[in-house]
Amino acid sequence: MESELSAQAEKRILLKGVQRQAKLRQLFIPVLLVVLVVLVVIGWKTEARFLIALCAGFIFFSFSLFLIVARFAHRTESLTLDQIQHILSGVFVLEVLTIWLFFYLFGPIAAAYQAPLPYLATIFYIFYIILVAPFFRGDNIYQNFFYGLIWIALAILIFLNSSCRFLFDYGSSPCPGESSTEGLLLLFSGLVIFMVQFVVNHFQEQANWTSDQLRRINQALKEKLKEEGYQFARLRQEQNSMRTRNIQKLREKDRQIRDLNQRLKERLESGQEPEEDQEASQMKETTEALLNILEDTEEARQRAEAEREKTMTIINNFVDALLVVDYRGLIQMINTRAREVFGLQGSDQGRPLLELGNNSKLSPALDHILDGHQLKVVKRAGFEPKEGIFYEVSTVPMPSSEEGQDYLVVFHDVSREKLVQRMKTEFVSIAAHQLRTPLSAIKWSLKMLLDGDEGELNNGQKTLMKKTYWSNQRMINLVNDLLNVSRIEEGRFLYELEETDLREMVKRSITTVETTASRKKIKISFKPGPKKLPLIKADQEKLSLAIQNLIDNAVKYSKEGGQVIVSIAEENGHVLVSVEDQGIGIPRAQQPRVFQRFFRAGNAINQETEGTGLGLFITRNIIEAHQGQIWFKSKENQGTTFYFKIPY
Amino acid sequence: MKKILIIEDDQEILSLLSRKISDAGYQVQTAQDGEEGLKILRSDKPDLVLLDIILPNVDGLELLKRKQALDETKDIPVVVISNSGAPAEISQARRLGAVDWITKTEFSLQETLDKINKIIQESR
Repeated sequence: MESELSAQAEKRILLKGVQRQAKLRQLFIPVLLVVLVVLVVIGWKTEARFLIALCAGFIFFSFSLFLIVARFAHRTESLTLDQIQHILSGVFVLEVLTIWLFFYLFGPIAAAYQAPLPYLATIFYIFYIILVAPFFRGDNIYQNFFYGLIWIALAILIFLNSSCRFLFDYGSSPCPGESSTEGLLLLFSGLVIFMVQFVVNHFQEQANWTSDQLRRINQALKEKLKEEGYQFARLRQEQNSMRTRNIQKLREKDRQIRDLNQRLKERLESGQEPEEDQEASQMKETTEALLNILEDTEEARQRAEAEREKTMTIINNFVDALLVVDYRGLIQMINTRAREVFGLQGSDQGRPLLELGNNSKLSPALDHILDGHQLKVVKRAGFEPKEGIFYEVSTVPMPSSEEGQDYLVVFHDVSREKLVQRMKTEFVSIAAHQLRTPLSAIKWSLKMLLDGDEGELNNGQKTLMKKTYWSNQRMINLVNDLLNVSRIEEGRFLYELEETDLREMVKRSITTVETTASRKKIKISFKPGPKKLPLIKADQEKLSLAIQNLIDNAVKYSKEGGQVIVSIAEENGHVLVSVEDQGIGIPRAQQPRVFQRFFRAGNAINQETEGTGLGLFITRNIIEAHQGQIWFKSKENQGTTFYFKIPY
Repeated sequence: MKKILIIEDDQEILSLLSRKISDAGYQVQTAQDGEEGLKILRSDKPDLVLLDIILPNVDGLELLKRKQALDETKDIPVVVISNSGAPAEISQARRLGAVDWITKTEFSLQETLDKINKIIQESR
């Protein structure tokens, strides 16, 4: 087996070499053709022109033989290495003889041109040896025979040359005659051939695999194959044993079932009483238990159904429009009111909420509650489904599944509340004015009297007058308090939303405090922020109130000579405004209460006795009604910075 | 002599104010509604206007708006004297160009006069 393998490998290598050389030789074929034609033409003047032509043809044929062998190399499957080598050797021998013939025929031409024939022939043969040596593998007998043949051919040529006994002379110069150099030449050429052969062989051995190496490779492959074979066999065995085991199990189960079946049959046939057989009574008990469970389940189901009915009735009669939207953004429930208000239908159930964007009544709400496909938490965002009708929408996260967050969307009609709020504000304004007018007239008149504008008062008169003045002042204070209490809800509702440039609003607020600020030598600097500031939807009246409050506070609670910095910035979808002062600050302990109604910090009361404690409360209402946020940072005696941001 | 225009609908207040201000050496003109007030404003061009908000016909804020719209009257300083005092109104009045706001129950007549003097001085 090993020798077969190595023989195969060697054969393949040999054939490969043949192919390679064939390719190389192909290049020289045209050259050879040209040379032969030229020589034939030269030889045409002699009498034996036809012989010359014939010989040239034969030479060409013999050199092409190698190429023909190479071409048919792939048909050598059936031939052994030895047989192929024989064929090649035959071809090479023929080639050696052909070369000899070539020189024999056309040698004299060389002599005519003073070219030394022996040297030419020797060089040619050397090149030839180099060419064909790779094809002799370790076959020393053949090789030696081959090289011997070449040497003999050379010897004959040398001899012929010295004695001028060529076939033709081509009108060349007279024969140079015998000389002693032929002997030396002969020896020399023999030596050269021997050396070339030796060198080439040496290189060959280095470059190619020997049969020894091939044998070792073969051995390793065999070992590997054996191993694989074992593994494979083992897997096979395991599979088989598993199969047998499964079959056994199945058979066992089958038998059990058959036994059970048989026993049941026997029992039925014998008509035994159920009580007598324990197994059957057990089965009966189980059946009864199951039936009970079924009944309970049915009851529970009916109760759940009834509850659901109740809940649905509540939902459908709810005064607010309700929607349930799941985590995918699909509408799960629409109550009756929602259907009425927004013109929705039963078929809208199951649709994505986003799709209802073309419903003109609903779309302004969707702007508030949708974030792409999904809902976000929203508290009381105002929108107008129709002119003059005001709603607030809120989203409530529902206790939900692992898949995601479901939401309950509540639409609350605040039109009446807004109206009431507005009416209340107007009423309070007018009431305050109406009550205060006579009070201020009394105050001024009394003051004039007390100041003596109508003549000096005696002590008794002065005392009485003072009492009256203070009573009047108490009335004024009462009216003030009444006003303040009613203003608590101020700012909750926004009335007219317009696209607003916040920057302009802030600038205007700053100008209104400039006189007051300059009196306290306070410098107000303004940082306008980015060049392109987006507009925000705002109730301008209310928002400017809020801004005014913050700026007024900053100036009010600043120390003399201080600085107030108002800045605007844009930050992730919001416009951010900050008002910074270097004033009295807010004591840490009192900071949590700053936004509470009527709250004024201790140090604020000291600085400025007048103040209702409502300003920040109202401001926060306003900012939050715009879906914004307000916060602050403060350190007592160092200053305070208030921030608010509103989305655009 | 500086001219002061007082636009106020309450008789008592009006007489108290005009007395105090004319005693101080100003020439006083009065109007009891917004319409009349605007007329005098346009024709006489006073140096300062004391304006109440709650007025019949044209109310204080509307008057301010119209006053601002006319070149000839827009620079006349206006001090709002009022008792309604809603912060929204105050800021709106400021936006419409009112120089200052006095709540009648909080300021005495003398303090009102002081303010007027100050503003007249500053506008010189």
